[in-house]
Amino acid sequence: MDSTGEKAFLEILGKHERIIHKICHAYGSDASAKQDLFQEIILQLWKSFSSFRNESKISTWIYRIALNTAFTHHRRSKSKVTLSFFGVFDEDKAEENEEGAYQENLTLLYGAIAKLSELEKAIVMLYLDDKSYEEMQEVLGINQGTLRVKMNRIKEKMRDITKSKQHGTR
Amino acid sequence: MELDKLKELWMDSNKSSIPIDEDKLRQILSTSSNGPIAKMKRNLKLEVISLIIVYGLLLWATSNEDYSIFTTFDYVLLPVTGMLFLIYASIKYKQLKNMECVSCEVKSNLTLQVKSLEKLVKLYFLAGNISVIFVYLIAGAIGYVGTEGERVAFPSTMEILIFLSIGTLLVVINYFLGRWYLFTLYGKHIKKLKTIIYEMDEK
Repeated sequence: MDSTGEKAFLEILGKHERIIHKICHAYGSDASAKQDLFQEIILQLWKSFSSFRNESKISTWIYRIALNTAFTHHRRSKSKVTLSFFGVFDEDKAEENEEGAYQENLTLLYGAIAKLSELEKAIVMLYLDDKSYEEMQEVLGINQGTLRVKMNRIKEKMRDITKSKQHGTR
Repeated sequence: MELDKLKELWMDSNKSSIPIDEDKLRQILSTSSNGPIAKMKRNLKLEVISLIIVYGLLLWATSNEDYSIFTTFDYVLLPVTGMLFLIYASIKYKQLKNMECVSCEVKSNLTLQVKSLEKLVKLYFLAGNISVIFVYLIAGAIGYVGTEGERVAFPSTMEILIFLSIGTLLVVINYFLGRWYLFTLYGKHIKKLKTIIYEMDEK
């Protein structure tokens, strides 16, 4: 692809980078796995960029590629570009932060998400990102009725997990 | 904590992400994918290149009388094995090419991957077992003709029985080794994907 294409891609990426960050935090087991997954998602987005036809929202397209990569990617890269942003939500760093309570809650949230299954993680992330059930269906390919049932179950599960985590830490 | 209350926190967490500079992103774009399918494609390319090199050397050896160790039998055998490998490589490449659709809905992509991976594993398994039988029979025939020399005669029943017994043992060992190896390599991954698809269908 030419440099104009690369520039347009980087611009879009800049606007939606947070989606990828969140998916990496949810699916990567440690900082190295998160970096590895981030790199792979960027590459997959780049490979598919030329075929993006604006038929769906750009965030839907990014979510599809990022989740498809997260579900199927399971090996570590050797040619890794070192990135500094992972570790922002590390538990040990949360207390050092000035916004301790905020970081603590965020850590709690990611901790709860980590306890969910691979699919539940995807559903909850889309829900937290305020995606409609229609958009969720567009990304995951699961019908809206099933998604609603699953979402109710996830809500209960998350409530239990955060409750037990809060009791456990205090 | 209620999930709806966490929405705000989640949205706010965007602020915690440190944006990556363009140079680092450009650096990523210049690296090659490390996904399982990309790796399999690279491995296939290596296999084909290795075959071309080996066949190139064999061609050179056959054309050079000083180094030629080949019999008429080998002149038939070499193109046959080469052709079989090329058929195997082209089927594998076709499978790998259509194995994923990352920009498709997650469920359809995972289903596609599972189906293609299962086909590929069957192909590996079949190719592995057939090639062992093929190589064993050919090696046996070459070895027998080599030791018998010009007064080659049909082998005795005992010789055939021993040859077939060893062959059966080899095939059985290869069958179980192949199953174990393919499960280690792809089985867990296929199982994981199937679990996700099952969960997607489950109410």
